[in-house]
Amino acid sequence: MTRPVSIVLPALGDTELFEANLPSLLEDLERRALGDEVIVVDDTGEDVLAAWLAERFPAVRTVAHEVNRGFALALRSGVEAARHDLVFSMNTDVRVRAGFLDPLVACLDDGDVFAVAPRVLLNGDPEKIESVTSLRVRDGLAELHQAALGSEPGRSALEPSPIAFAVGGTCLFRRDEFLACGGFDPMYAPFYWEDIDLCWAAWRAGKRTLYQPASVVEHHHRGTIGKLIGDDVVRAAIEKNRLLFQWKHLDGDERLAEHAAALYRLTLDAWLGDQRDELVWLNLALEQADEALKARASLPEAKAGFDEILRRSSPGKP
Amino acid sequence: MRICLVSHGFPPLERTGVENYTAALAAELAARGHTVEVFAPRVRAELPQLSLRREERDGYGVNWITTNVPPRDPEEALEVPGVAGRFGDFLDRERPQVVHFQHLVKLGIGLVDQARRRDIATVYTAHDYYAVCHRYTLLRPDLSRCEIVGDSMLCARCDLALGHLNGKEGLGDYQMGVLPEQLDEGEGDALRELLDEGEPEALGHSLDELDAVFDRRQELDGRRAQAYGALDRILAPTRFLASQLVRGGIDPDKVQVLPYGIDTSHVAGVPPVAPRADAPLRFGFLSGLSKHKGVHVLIEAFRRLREPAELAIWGYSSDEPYVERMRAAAAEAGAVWRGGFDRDELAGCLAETDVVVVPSIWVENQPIVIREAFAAGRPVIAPRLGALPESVNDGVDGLLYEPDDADALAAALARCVREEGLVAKLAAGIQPVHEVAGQCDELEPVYAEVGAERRLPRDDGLPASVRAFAERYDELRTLPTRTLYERALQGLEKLRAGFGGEPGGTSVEDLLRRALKSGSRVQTRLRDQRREADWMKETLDFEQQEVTWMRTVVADHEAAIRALEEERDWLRSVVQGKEQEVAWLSSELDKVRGEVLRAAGVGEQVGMHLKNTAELGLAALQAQEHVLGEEVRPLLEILERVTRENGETPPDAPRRRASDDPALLESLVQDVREGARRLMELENELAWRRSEMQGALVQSNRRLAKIFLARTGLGSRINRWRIEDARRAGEASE
Repeated sequence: MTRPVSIVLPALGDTELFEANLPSLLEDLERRALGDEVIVVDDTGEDVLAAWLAERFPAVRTVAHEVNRGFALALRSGVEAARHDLVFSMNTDVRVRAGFLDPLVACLDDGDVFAVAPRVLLNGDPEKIESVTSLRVRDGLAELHQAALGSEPGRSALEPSPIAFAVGGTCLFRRDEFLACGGFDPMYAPFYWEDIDLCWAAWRAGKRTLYQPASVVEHHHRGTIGKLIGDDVVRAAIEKNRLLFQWKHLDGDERLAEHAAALYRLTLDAWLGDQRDELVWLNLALEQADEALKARASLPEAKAGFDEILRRSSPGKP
Repeated sequence: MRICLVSHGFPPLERTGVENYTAALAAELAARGHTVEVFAPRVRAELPQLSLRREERDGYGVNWITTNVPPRDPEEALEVPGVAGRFGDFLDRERPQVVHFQHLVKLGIGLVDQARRRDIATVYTAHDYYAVCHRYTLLRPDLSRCEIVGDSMLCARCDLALGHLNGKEGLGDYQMGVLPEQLDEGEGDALRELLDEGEPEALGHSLDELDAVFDRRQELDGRRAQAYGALDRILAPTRFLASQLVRGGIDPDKVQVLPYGIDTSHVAGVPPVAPRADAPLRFGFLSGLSKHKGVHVLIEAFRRLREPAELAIWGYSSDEPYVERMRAAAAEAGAVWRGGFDRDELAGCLAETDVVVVPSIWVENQPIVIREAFAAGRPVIAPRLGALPESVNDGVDGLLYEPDDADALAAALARCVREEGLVAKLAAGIQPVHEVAGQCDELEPVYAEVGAERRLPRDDGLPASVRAFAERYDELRTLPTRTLYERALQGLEKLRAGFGGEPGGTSVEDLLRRALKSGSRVQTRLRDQRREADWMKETLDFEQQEVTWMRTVVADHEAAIRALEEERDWLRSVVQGKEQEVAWLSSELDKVRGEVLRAAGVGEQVGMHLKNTAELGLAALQAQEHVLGEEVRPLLEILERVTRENGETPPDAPRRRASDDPALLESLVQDVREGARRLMELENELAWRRSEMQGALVQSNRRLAKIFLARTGLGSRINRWRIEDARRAGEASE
């Protein structure tokens, strides 16, 4: 049985994206006629969106941050403001296709499912599916893998399957569960890896994250932030957070020893090979090491260890 | 603050003004707590080109870049290949907040761009005119002064003139310029005409040539202007130099006048100038012996000086022809030639000098030697030229004279000798010298200012959460690689502790062992490089074998060629023999022909003669017969009549005629028969001789044809061998 959903969109001041992507969303929700709601969280810190949205899309609710607080906290504010039990979070550059919600809602009938991600087509290309995600560990360092992004989508892209995380936070989840686990960890500011962290924590608690290809949305990636601050800064954020994630979640003596050895190797390699960037990334992460260790210490007891989650969250696994 | 000083040389390898100044600056800045790294080139044959080596000095580092390969052309001199890239590596490693360039010669202008790319602030001290004159000095090749700065066409004329001088022997350092007496008669005028915007033809150059040189110079000047234009601040020690930089196109807003502050510790303790009883005044020249320093003007002035005085010349130059000329001139003028001196010996030199003379012929900037002389309490005599009046206060701490004028200089020298108390008065007028500490007091705010200009804030339009991260990222990127590395190690140690012994209580040593066991990128790269080196060595060995083999092949080919050449020579001699033979045969043939012809002629003549004789004989016989017939007829008639009358049958008339004298007739007939036989014999002989001649001709023609064929065959063989030779020679050279 389908249920009403609150759609939460953390947003900066990009009204062009609203004009491009909100109509299809509102149209689909109207078709569902279940009383779904759309909440835009204005994270510009200047409260510029409410008036604009009220004029063009009066059905949209707006929550404004007095100061810019970043994607994680903006999403949390939106979820807190949501009226329904189910919340679909998405970025403003996502354009939904008709009927995207029902298959996702159906998946959440299973109480063990924490979140469910739609088939996210990069720039609408059916051959490039972003949401078939997994994590790998190579030489002591974790790395992301998107199995259906680079090449022709395999079987795993056509059937529902477990995934490591819902990419870009584009997924449906239960409001209460999200708020109970604290939502996105602000440690990952300014962006990236917070979505992995959230789903990984759920996997750790014995819950699952699923990929539901019957639900389709398009991600019209524009690299806006890269243009604003430079791709090198974006890369630095990704690499910093990759390390923070591991410091928070890696477990087992062997894994930790392997990772610690990898960090020393990385440091030596960077120093001897004049790879300054890598030393900058490592320093950025190390400056937040205390935060990561604190988050690690406050994790509830694990129902599944890191390696077990690696196995269970691989797409295609039952 | 992290400061990088860049110089074209550094002590102890180079110890002239700029290098010593840079060293003093480095030591003083380091002593003030700044992190100072010096970047300088040096030649070290045992190290690979562009290798970087760092050594520790008194609180600062010296980073030597090996530049063993001299530039091959003006382009490479302006942007020395590879050096800028290595400077970039150095900048990444040290991440200075400011780079203070002292000179870019030997290193290239590309260094400025490397600093800019990393948003590192840049300061440049102009120690000469290199920023606006590729000859540094504003001196033209005829040692006249350039009055117009930054005109690429005039600079091209300098280039063309230098190109001309480059082709002449025995000029020594012609790059600096040549004295008029070093040129041929009329050549000096032609040189000046070219430099003075005249026609280049006088020196044997075309306008097209000048245009081509101009295009090249314009391109080089453009690149240099771009590099110097990218600097954040340009310091000029004198107002004059600053004005020339601006005339040459440097942005006046970037130019700041900042007189030198130098280290004078090495001349401390020199006793003050004191009158020496009955001893002549001692003038001293203490500088490089390059032509632009003008020692020739001083020697000439000293030669003209009538007053008793001494002149000592200290200095060194690699311009041997000039030095030899000056040494001879000095000896003739009675000056003492003291030769080169080390910086540590300067105090001793000054102690032996009462007045220092700086007779430069170029528009000097702010010679350090004047500062050093003043620091030792020695007045200075200098020309009223360039920035020198900013250093020497005429009549107060020294004397000024009209530039290039030996008489004027001699007059200044004479004043010092004649005017009692003048030297002491000038010595007393010397103001304390600006020291390096004072210089650093001035430089620190400059560094801070340009550094702040470079640290531009992130775009205000950024969300606060993003901006905070981006700014922190920017801050870390400005740190030296070493600092990042050390911080990372400290952070990792803390992290390891934070894991609370979770990684199995593994020690750092164990972790490192484990890390390197599983394969580090650097290890892999080193292994790859070693493998590549091995492969290259193998390739080299193989190629050397190939070369050896090729050498033997070449030697074989050469031997084959030699053999072929010998064969060719032999064949040539054979051909020559054949040709001689042919010539001989031809002459023989001609002889045979001649003989045949002669024989034929003789035969014919003989035949004709015999025929004629025979015919004449026959005619004579017939005539005789006729005469006899005429004579016999009456006798016969008488005989017939007698016979008839006697009843006897008269004999036959012919018988009677033939038997008129049968013996004679018979003899005549015999003669005729003999003549006919002889004629026949002669005709036979003639026919034989003709056939012989024909035979000989046929044979000669056959032999000639054979010889011709042999010649043609030999010719084509020789051609083939020549072609083969050429091909083999080509292969051998490849």
